[in-house]
Amino acid sequence: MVAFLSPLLRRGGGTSAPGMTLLKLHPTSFSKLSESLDKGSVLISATNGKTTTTRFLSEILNDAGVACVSNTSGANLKSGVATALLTKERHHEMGVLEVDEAALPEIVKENRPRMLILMNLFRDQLDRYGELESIAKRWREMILELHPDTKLLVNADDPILATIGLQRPDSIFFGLGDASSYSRAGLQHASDSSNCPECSAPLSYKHVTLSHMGDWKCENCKLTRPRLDFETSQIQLNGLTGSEFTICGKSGRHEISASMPGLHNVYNALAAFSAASELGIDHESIVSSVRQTVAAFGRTEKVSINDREVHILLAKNPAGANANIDTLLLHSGPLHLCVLLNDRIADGRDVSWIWDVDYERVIERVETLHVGGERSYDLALRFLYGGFEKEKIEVVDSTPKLLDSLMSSTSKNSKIFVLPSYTAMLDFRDELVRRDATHAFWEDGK
Amino acid sequence: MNIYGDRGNISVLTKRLQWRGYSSSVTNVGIGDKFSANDFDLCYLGGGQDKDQNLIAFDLAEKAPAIRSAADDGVAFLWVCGGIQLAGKRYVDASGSELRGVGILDLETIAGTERLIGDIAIKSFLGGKEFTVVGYENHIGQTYLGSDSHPLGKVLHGYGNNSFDQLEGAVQQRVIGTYLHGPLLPKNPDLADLILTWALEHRVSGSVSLEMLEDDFATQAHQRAVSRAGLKR
Repeated sequence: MVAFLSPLLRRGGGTSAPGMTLLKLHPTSFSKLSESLDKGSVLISATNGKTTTTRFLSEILNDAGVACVSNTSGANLKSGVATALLTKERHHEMGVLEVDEAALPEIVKENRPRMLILMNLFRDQLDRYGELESIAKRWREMILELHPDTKLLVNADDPILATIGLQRPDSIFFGLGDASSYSRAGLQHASDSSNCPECSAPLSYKHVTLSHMGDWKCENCKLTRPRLDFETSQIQLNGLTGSEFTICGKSGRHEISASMPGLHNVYNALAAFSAASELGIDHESIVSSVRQTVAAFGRTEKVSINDREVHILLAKNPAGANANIDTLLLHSGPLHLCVLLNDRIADGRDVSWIWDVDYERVIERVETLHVGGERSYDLALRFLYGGFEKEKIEVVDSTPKLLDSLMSSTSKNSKIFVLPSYTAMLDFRDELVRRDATHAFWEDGK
Repeated sequence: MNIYGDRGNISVLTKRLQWRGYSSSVTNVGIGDKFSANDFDLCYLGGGQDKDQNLIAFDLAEKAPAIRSAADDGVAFLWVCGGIQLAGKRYVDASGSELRGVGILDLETIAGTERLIGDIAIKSFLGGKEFTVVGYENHIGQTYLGSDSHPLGKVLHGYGNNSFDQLEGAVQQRVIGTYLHGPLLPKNPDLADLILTWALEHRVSGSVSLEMLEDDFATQAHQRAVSRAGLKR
């Protein structure tokens, strides 16, 4: 069956269908599929950074000679994970799989992973996931029942996740040790978990990195960020080109250079490094793979078209969009900004989250502004009330026209920054593919 | 509390005043802060996660006398989402335990068994004018109006206060409670201006008539929401 399905999977980007069919026919087949990997699976879950971390880790493992099967296209519900496992070829030894936050508990139960990485929980798609608290509660219960052989890696900078990790004595914690040079004056507007997970008192922070993450402490019940097993220091963000930093772990200090920009990608690289280190991969090999890994489709992806550089930065929730705004601000030139918003199921039907993004921070820097997607006028209102000049807000609904307008309103060598919601990103990339500017997303990483 | 882009409602209120040459100031009243009825012309409360909502319910109980006297005095109120529940007389959660509300709206809310989620459009007759109000709803509470509260509108598409009576929101004096977010006001400038008129009338103790603004983005966004809801108008 695998041999028959594999060629089909390479076409059309219907990257969940085979798994869905199989699970319908054989509901118990998921565990069997999981067991077929000699060295087991690593499951990665988060609100933001799943795809990129999965990509980092699978590149590291493949480069080190551990052949991995992975859901590189980002299909991360049970059917998508099953589809990825179906594509397993004879030489694949491990699975590196990103998993949807809500689907994680069930998948963990049936997959019994060798390693589980919990990266962050932010406010996201309230209509689909419910409140952040309810996902956190399910994760908490999941960890209590986690098989003792599963190694748990947790981002200690996220207070809720840290307390989830502390439920087990042997959890591995990673975090940004010294990010004070990138610290924020205060919590972002969209911050969610800035109260102590144990006693509900407001947390105090030595530094805040993204949203509610950072070096936190509760003055009331004295709960603090757990001791870090892997921590970064001397972070230097190099504009849009990437970052350099040091990771200190059990095995010593390692100088890292990553080619993906922004503090959020430091987290992603750190998570993958920690995981690979715990899996026993040679550190020199990890460092070299991290340097060479490029972004997955639509995640700070750079595409050249008509002598312009189009940067696509997926933005599907306030925390992710705010991280993208940070990245934009690393760029020193004028900003050509294009924000796209759809409200399909995969985007979240409720688009109120755009009001929790701090777009105002780039207002002085924006030279041209396009808004598009099915909810283009919601975006137009967002920017209008955010203080952007009305004449500057260009509303373009159709993707081909949008791309034409982006080209005609910028000059050669311009950098254009596109912040799309998930399906808006797929639509926008389709148009780029149609114009031969990039590859189809299901060919990503091939 | 801020969730579901509540900040957008505040932006709309302050910007629409600013565009007409009025100045305004916004004060965040947090847990434990003093609230004095005479200090404000408009009082906004948004939605929150359940945990936060419990925290502020206790605080609101302390502020309730001042809030009630502000409502009697003609201060404009917009209480959205969790706000409408807290403005009512009581909220009974899934475990059956009861949370007392502020009581500026004659209504009560009982936790239902399933969340009412999705796009919503209602027809309102507030201020003697018929207009549609569009938004998004996501609530487990089922709200029932008492005889002193009028609905904000009749449901054209979506659920509204509960699964039964096709009514949405509540109005009493100058207090509006509603489940509609999205956020509510950017796409509903008629409603925003009505609330601002109330606030200004409270300020000047006389009648106020606001000049029209150019609202083409809002009109487009509103009409698209109406047609997405499957309503032809």
